[in-house]
Amino acid sequence: MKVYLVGGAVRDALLGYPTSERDWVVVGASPQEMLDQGYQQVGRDFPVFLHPVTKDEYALARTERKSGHGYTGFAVHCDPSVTLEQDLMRRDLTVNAMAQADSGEIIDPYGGKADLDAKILRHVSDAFVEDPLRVLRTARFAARYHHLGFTVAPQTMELMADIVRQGELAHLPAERVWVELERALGEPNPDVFVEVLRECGALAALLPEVDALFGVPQTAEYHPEIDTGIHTLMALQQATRLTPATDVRFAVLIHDLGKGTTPATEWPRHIAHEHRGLSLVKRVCQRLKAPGQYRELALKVCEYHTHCHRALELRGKTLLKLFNATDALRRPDRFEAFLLACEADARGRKGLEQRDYPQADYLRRAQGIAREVTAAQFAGQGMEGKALGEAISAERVRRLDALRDECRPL
Amino acid sequence: MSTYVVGDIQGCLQPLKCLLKKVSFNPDKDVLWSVGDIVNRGPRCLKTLRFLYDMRDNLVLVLGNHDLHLLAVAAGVRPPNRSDTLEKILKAPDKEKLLTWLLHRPLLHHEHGFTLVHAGIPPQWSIAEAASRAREVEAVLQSPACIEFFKHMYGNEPLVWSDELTGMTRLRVITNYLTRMRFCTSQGVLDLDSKGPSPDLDKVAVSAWFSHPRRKTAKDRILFGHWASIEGQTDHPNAIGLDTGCVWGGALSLYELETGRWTSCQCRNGRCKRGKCKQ
Repeated sequence: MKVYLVGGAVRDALLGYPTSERDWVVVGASPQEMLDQGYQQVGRDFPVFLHPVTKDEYALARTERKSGHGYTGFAVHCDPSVTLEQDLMRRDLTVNAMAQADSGEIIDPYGGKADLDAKILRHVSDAFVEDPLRVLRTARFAARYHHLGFTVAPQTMELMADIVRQGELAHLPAERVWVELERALGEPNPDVFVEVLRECGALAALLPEVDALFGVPQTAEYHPEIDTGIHTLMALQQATRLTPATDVRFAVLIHDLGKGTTPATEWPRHIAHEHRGLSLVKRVCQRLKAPGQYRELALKVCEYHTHCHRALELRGKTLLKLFNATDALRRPDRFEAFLLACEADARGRKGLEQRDYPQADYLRRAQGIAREVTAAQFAGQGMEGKALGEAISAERVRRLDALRDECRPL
Repeated sequence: MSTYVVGDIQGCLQPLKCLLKKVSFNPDKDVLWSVGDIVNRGPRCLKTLRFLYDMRDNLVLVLGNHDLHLLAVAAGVRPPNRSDTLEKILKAPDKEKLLTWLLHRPLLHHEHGFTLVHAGIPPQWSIAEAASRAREVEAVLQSPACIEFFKHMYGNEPLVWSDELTGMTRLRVITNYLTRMRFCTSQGVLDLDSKGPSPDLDKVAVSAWFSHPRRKTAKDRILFGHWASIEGQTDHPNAIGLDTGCVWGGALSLYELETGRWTSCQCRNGRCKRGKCKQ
């Protein structure tokens, strides 16, 4: 029985890139031998074990053959005669199909090191098309290593387009798509993920609402980049600069979906796109089974991003409405996420990337002022219930109006 | 490295090759800019399109009215005109590849302090305004909405720009300015009927788009084609006219940006006139 380090850990070590997971392949062993040595089996039918101490994943060398549609349709073949090369061959990309022995020797039967040096993401074999999830994985690796200069090989892009044309993406469970999307949003260039998906046609299959934004013009006065799809990618880049939070990045990705439904006769204006976007955001979140926190933030950003941009013009009453609608006074942390998404939107415009966003600090200050008004201050006046609530609101509006007057240019 | 700008080719492939040979065009270093109208009326439209496609990495091409017409015909929204010479392209096996590439060309290109556009820029627009309005049309051309755009592209109305315009009407007037304009008033009201070097007699108050003294782009260098009858004569050093009527028995002209040097090739029926420059 021999053990090899495989996959991401080998790849990232060669790249000098930090990695957290270490996966191992075991050649020449049976499940019983693994159990005898104290490893714990992960699934009953799947030959993957956890190390008794490190909890690293140890998988018996195996081959896979497609036996149906989608991600789960695989027949797994595993016995002690399966070689390391056979195991590596079932993997997606050459850079992920290298192994390292105890001695430090790199086993690289499919040219992974050469592709790593040439900065190319290339499929290992034509079996690539057997797993549609690889379209998303490849796009995610492009997003992960774009800043190092990596691109997807044209032949691999062709195979990805083939997978899309066969309609295979429709068989992916929403949970798998979501995991890939969320991980991609956490990479240094999530905009590249979207671009690669668009190039192979997968964006239209997975996120048609985002795909529809490309080719929709906006007014040059506010959006010098014109194209709504380009704006979305630029805003996503800005979100990535502002925060590692993937819920903020997700909200930015789908903040302008309403613009995809503007009748062409109204271009380049997009009246009420914030409101029209809401049902699309709901639809996307439902289809992807996005967690509640992502959905809530995306809905708030979709509906209120323009309010946020106009913050300095808003009257106290409108500000308080905005705070109530975004739950800013009870959940300051969520409001902070909302502000970051709006700032990314404002900066995701050609030539305006470095521009200050004073609206955010103004709203933070306004939020602080509104939160200073509490029920305790009205305790002595014998008010309760609705009357108390109204008194608090009135005082908040009064203070917010005062702030507006103080900050208004003369 | 040199940048050469060529006038309206309209299928006259031999004169183009002749010119590139005359200036010893080096595909490893030099770049060719085209003012558009690469096809139609002339003889070798498919070969011209393939030739330019093959040199696409060294080429900047802005779309002309004939190029847009080809795309509209190919999209099936318009029958070919009787004088069109586009049949071979429409039947070519590599049509999809060629036309997809063509569809992704810009309407305006700005680089090295020069602006390249097929017809011109109306007096009331700056370069920046023209560039962003061109982007509006390009965005739609490169999306599924291009079919809808082609359906609405034909027509002369509205005659003048307004910020309030929306939808396909807005895109049509932008396209008419950038790819069809010759004469307009100082406020940019279009006269799309006059084709000669002077406006038709009944058109008062219009003159060549580049001749209006208070034109916003008066200080910008603009390279344009489209207008064969002025034979490249603008009397405005910053308005550089490239169309010298190659397809009409005139010449194909080439202008070197870095030196201001002109080179030309006399043309007859789409071939070099004196047969001196056999390819």
